[in-house]
Amino acid sequence: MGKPVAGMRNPVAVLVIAAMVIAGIVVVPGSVTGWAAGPTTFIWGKSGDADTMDNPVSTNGETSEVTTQLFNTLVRMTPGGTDVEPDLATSWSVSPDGLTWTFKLRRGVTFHDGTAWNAAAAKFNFDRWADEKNPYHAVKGLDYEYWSDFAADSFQEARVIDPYTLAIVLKKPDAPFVYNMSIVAFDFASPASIKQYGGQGVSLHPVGTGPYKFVEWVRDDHVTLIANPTYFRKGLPKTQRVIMRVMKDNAARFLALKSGEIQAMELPNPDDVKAAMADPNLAVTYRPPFNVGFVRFNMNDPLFKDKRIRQAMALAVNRKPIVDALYGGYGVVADQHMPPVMWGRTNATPVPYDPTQAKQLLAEAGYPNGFSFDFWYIPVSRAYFPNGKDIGTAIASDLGKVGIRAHLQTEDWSTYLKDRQTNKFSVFMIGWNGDNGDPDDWLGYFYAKYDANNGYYSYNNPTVLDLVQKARVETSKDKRAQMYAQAESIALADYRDILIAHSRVPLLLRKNISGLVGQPDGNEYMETVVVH
Amino acid sequence: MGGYIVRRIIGLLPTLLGVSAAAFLMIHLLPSDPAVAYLGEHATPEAIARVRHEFGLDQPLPVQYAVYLWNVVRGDFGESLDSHRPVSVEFLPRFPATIELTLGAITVALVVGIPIGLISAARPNSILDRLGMAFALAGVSLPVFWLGLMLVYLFSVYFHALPTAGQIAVGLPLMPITRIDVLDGVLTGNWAAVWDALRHLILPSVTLSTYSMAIIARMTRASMLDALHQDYIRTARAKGLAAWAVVIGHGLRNALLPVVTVIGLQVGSLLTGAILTETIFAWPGVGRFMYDSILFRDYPVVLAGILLFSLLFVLVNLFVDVLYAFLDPRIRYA
Repeated sequence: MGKPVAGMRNPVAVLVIAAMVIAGIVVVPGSVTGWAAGPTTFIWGKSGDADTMDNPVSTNGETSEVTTQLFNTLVRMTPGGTDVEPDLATSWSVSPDGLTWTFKLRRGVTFHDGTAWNAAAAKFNFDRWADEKNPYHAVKGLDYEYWSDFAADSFQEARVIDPYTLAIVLKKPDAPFVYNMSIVAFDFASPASIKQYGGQGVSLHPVGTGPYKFVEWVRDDHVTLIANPTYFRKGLPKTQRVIMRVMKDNAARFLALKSGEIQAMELPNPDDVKAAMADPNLAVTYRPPFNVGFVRFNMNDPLFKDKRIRQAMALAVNRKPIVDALYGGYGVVADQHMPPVMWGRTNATPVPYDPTQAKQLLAEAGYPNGFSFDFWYIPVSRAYFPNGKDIGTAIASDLGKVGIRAHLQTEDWSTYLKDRQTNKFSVFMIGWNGDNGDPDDWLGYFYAKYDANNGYYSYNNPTVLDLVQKARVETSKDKRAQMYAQAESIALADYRDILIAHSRVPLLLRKNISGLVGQPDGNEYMETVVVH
Repeated sequence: MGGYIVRRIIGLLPTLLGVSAAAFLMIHLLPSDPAVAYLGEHATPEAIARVRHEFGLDQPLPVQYAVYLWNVVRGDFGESLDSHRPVSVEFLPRFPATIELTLGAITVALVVGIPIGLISAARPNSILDRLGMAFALAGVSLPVFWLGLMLVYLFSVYFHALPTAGQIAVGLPLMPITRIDVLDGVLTGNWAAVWDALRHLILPSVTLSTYSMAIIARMTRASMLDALHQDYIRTARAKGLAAWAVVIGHGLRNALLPVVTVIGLQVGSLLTGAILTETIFAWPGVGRFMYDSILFRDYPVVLAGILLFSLLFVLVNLFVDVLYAFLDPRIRYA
């Protein structure tokens, strides 16, 4: 090693002083520029970017979070609930044969471009969604998935009865129709804007009737909205400007909330929820549970065709400790598929934890020493399974105590979604987030059909499938509720699935924010938010 | 020299062809279907088949590759499976942000790393040397993700001194010319924007620079120690030159040659490795976009990104080689 070089003391001091000067200049808090959080601006931290501003062609929740502020639907979910209330329609009725729904439309409403909302505008949008030959229908690379899933089978035509009366004529009765119309994908855009920008162009030029108007969308960065002064709900919106900032990392988003750069956020890490509860500047609110996580048996597999096996496995899983430990404190043990907020539920009690009876059933079924099987857990985090691996491991551990040896498996999520609809999985974790407050969205999906080549649809109980099909066309809500309750009771008695949990979804906000109500479908109405 | 540069540029073509083929094959070997990734949990077999047909994913792999190559030659990198916009349109607005972050990081790395290496070499085995090398060790050891979050907590949350995320304050008017916000602010005389953009750049630059800074510091120290023992240094001292003139004017210039090589490699790494930093700081650059595209199985974007970064890496290293020749007159390329 060499000797120190003489005369090098001064450069060190110079460097240190220079660094301090630079730090002092640059780190001194400068004047706040731009649209920082303030009394007139509400800044929301999003976990991802929208894919379009044209919601009918999107299934992305990050899109609907934005478009909920820009557009309205005929009916909408009640704030904080799952029932429906008037939105662009003030009342509705259905013909006795269930084939014609008549909507009375709200008067005096204008789109953001000043054009009128009326039956013709509504029909224009319906025609765009429904008719592939409509000149504004095609949107490259995107499709009307929600329309296909919820309306295409029954929709025949939209008819203008008078300027403020719209009739929707169906090919067959569709009892959930009005609930389906509350899905945000069925929002109404200005026909003039669609004609001006085309079916493709409206994805960047959203013109609705909503409480906020579109200002700009900087991809992967932020969306800016500004208050609509002619919004039909008088006194709303309460805040002049909404900025939705894209911050994909949960921890970074939480730090932005703590620093005040954003004022509310979704999808925090569980540890950050606890930290927020202890922070005097922050508050926690919740989206009501509108999801369910469960373990599904592939009943096309001969082993799991035996009800004793399914019952034994259900009895062997001690769900309460799993939910208490692994859902961050906001899970509840599920006693049936639909969460408490839904109508059409049955009176059910959670399956008890009874490993003794589980062993007896296994012995009766011819497996006194248990058996081995592949148990597939989801590789992603969802509200219904915040950590698929941990929860899957806990379930496997409980099963192991009665001699059932679960080999944990997983794969890429998109492959998982594909493979659950084959017979590849014998037992797998899966879940559901609700789209609307009608039981058909839940039980109608879970018990849609029987398919000998599809593990997801491997429950071959004609009574249940029939009840669900009948409930879809029954016009009496009370009768429908009874049918769904009956179908669910039968499926529960069959131990079709091992139900695990429903989960509230926490939202974090700063204490100076009020009026933010957690929506079950994840699309909060920011029109009532006040920044104090 | 000109001939050398031309030959290196021509040599890019087979390199990029090989990279594209390898990348194309690797992406398609991933065990998932981009059509399912696109459609999500509502995917039906019919919808999956429709999307696969629409994007040509139902063609044999060699056909897909041939079509891709033909389109690339014509400047068409395809459309993003996610946004359905041309890939070039997706990359172009994001690329300047990554350039800005890379320049910021390499600046910090050089401004901090070279002096640390210099001082350590000038005072070997002293407390300054040990502190400098400990600092460098921390730089290569600290996880970028952790460091970024800690810096945000300290300077944004605790001291409220710097912003947590983004490239510039939302709503700050700034005319986009290059989309490098600091530069655009200077070009338009918008000093409020320059100030704000710099404040947004500090934490992500420091976070991203730590590994490079450590490598540069260590390489500078090692190279300087070697240079300071050369005969010409003894001669320079004997001629009565001031210490700083000896070290910096004679020692550093020669010691920088291997450091320049390292800098070139680090720039390439910074360009391609900013994914974590961009995610933490919500920096709207290419790195985060590439990460999202990989998760989404957005093949056209991923392929274009691999080609782009390969090209940049090769060009940066070509620049370094040319710089070598200017720094060392003994080096001449045939």
